[in-house]
Amino acid sequence: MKEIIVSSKGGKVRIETKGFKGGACLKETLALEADLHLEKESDEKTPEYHQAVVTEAEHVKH
Amino acid sequence: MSHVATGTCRIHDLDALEIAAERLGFELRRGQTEYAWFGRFLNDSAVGRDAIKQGAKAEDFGKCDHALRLKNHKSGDYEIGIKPALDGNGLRLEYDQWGAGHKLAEMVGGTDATKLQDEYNLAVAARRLARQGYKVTRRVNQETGEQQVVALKA
Repeated sequence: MKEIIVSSKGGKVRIETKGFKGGACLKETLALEADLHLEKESDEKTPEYHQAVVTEAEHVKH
Repeated sequence: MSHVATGTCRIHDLDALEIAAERLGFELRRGQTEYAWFGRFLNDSAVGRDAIKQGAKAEDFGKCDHALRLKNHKSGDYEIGIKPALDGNGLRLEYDQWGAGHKLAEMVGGTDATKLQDEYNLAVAARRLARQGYKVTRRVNQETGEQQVVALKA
């Protein structure tokens, strides 16, 4: 299951993604960020993001 | 979790602004070219002072492209003007915070209208993610009290 959680407090928005493989989460939120005209203050890739990228790379290697 | 992005947003989507405003007790009046205020700039409103610092002209106060009016509007109530942002990037709110404007400031979240911005951000997110095929719901984060949009897709 893919999940996107959008929170907003004090006028600042926070977008979290869960359940995506590798960079798919970034592509999935591109249109949302464009609609919001989001001026990013931070964009952190979580351990799951890196783990998924490594897994995919290893899969291609084998 | 895959990634977490944070930042500030600009108001561009009038439909989403209408949804946000309704949730806070306003109606959007599209095409209304004047908003109710004291009628004379006395430099006693932070919204007005900020606008002047950024290049607005006092003689343009009271003029707007659209307006937000309280749903239970009564004679003498002020309104919020919706105008192009002074830097050309989106829309801005302009209103008189003094006198009858105190109530408006409280409802939208002060000079920066943070409550309205929060509702706007969530309205934009809900509309976009629904268009992308997500099942979208709203909830309150029990730990932080934040309003959230939660979107799920198999």
